[in-house]
Amino acid sequence: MEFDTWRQENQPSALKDTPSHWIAEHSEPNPFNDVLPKSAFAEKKIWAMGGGKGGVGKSMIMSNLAISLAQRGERVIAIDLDLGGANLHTTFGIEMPRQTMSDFFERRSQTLEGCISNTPIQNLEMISGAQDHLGIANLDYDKKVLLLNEIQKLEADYILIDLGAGTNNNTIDFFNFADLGILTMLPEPTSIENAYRFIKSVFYRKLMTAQHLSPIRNWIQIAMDSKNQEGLRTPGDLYRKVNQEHPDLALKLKDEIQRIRVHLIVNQARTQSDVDLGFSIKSVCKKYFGIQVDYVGYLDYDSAVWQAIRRKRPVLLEFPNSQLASNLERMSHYLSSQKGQSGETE
Amino acid sequence: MKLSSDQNFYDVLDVQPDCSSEEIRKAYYQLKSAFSKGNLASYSIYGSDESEHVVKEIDQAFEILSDPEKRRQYDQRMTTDSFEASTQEDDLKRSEDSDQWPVEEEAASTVNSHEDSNYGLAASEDSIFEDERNSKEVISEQIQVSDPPIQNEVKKAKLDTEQNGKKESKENPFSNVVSIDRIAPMEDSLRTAHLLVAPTTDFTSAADQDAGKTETQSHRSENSHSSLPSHQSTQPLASLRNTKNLETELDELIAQEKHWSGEFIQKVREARKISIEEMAEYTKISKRYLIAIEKEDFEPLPAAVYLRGFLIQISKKLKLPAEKVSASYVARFRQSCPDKA
Repeated sequence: MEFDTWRQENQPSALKDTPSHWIAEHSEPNPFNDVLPKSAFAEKKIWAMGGGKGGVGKSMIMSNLAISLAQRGERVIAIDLDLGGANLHTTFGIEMPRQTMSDFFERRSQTLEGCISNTPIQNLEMISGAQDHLGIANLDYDKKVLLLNEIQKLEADYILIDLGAGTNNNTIDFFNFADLGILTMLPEPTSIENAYRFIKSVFYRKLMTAQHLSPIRNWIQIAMDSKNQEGLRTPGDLYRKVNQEHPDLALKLKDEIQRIRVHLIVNQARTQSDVDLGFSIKSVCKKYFGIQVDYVGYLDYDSAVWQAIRRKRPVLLEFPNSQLASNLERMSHYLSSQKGQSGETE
Repeated sequence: MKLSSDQNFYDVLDVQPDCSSEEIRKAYYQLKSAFSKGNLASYSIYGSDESEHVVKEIDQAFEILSDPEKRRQYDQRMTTDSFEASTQEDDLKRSEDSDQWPVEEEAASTVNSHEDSNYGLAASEDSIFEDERNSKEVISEQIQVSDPPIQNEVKKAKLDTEQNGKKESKENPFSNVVSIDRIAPMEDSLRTAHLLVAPTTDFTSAADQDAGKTETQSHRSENSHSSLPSHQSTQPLASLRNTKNLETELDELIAQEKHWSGEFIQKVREARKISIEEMAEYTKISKRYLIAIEKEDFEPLPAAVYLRGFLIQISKKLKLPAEKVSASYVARFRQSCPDKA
């Protein structure tokens, strides 16, 4: 109560002065309020693959991870959420499936389960993204919640979600919704910048949607705009500010931050310094955001990939004995041994 | 109130307080590399000023923690500190606890208090301890007064260092470590004229170059074999690939070398930033022999068979062609000490 009055009196001016599009977008309602609790359903793991930039190998890596899991006998459903630019089916080497997510959105199919199509690979099914839909950024709140709930209901050991490029709110929500968020990046400045943008969005969105941080939501909102007038330039500043005003909430904030986990894959590594980039990103994120980035590994730049893609075949099937294939398999082993981030909905 | 005040040096390097010196080194090189100028990983998050500040903090922490003696003193003061705080100022301590950012996080806004201090490694021991005191406000005056023995000890250590600069360089196990931010002297040592011995044509046979290449290739493929990054690749060398010029320069020098003198071995060791002590720890060869080998002081060295083993160990650590080094060196040794042949 006390805090509420304080908040009213100290209504931050920064918010009025910087009506940033980004802030508005990331302050959208929290979908996890309306999503069913995870424990209500059978044990399964949801992985989401993101990356700020397009063309960094999200779909390629995702499809191969899915195949690797399926080959080990896990029941896998791969979902293409790159709405509008869906082509996960091509990476599996199949034609555009007849049922897509459009059917679900247009209510031609009552459940998401009805959109599942088979693949030539045993144990692996997929849900193709909507080809004609407006794109994930335009997914409205109700549909998002519906989709999240439907994904929860799918029966499988693993559900792998391929997110499109970009850091829009919907993409981030699916990323945070997953048990394991995987971020793919190329060792190139453009890709790295976007990867940080992605991590930043994940970070603030996670804090914004954390139930027990609602009393300090306005401060988080201010900190999102790094040019704000309150002088909250970095996550560290935000933390110090909160700590100053409300030490008990600062502990919760710290706890929430420490629970954020991003799994990083560096794709198309050509040199040792490309490989080391992952470690550097890890260090920088720890220092700047205070979050744990798990460097899953790197994939060498390999001409096997484009050759396989041109043949419309997954690398794992086309070149099963290549170094790349074994690296991908190792990654899938490693990731499946990882504990997911703890659920959103308590 | 400065919130980052109770970040300790272990937090700065993101290591556990009970970690080994090797872990500290790894963490240091990893961070140093991540925040080095031109590293793609940091420029879009940290401005160059902020990066510099972070680097200063890292250096400062490493300066203390890399020295067993300084680390011991520091640990001692930390424990004294928390004891005092927990017994006498329970409330204060609690609020300080919650002050702790998951990792220390000290951006440009809090640079001020550090600005005036001198962080360079060349700084006298004195100023380093001053800094430490500044950055750890927790060490209040009261504690300093109530705990004179430690302070005295520290002061004494400082005095010793200042007075016996030369002696210290032999006794302080880390005075031989070429710090990473002394890149300038390192570059110098690699560029000195007498090292660039002769034109490639004279020296480098095709076989030599091939050997060099296969070595680097095998190193690379070894890496790509484990796609999951192992700790191996966090080793100083690997994480320093950014200083590519230096690396390649060194590799070229090694490819060209024929003589494998003690002096050359020493140069490579310093360029690879390995102290005599670390070398002794790794190879299990006594420091005395290592120094003698580098000085080509054959007197104290054992028989040729043993020497050969030593040289192979050293070469492995320095990534030198072991066979060539030992053959060339032992030949010279046999010539001057036929009795030990």
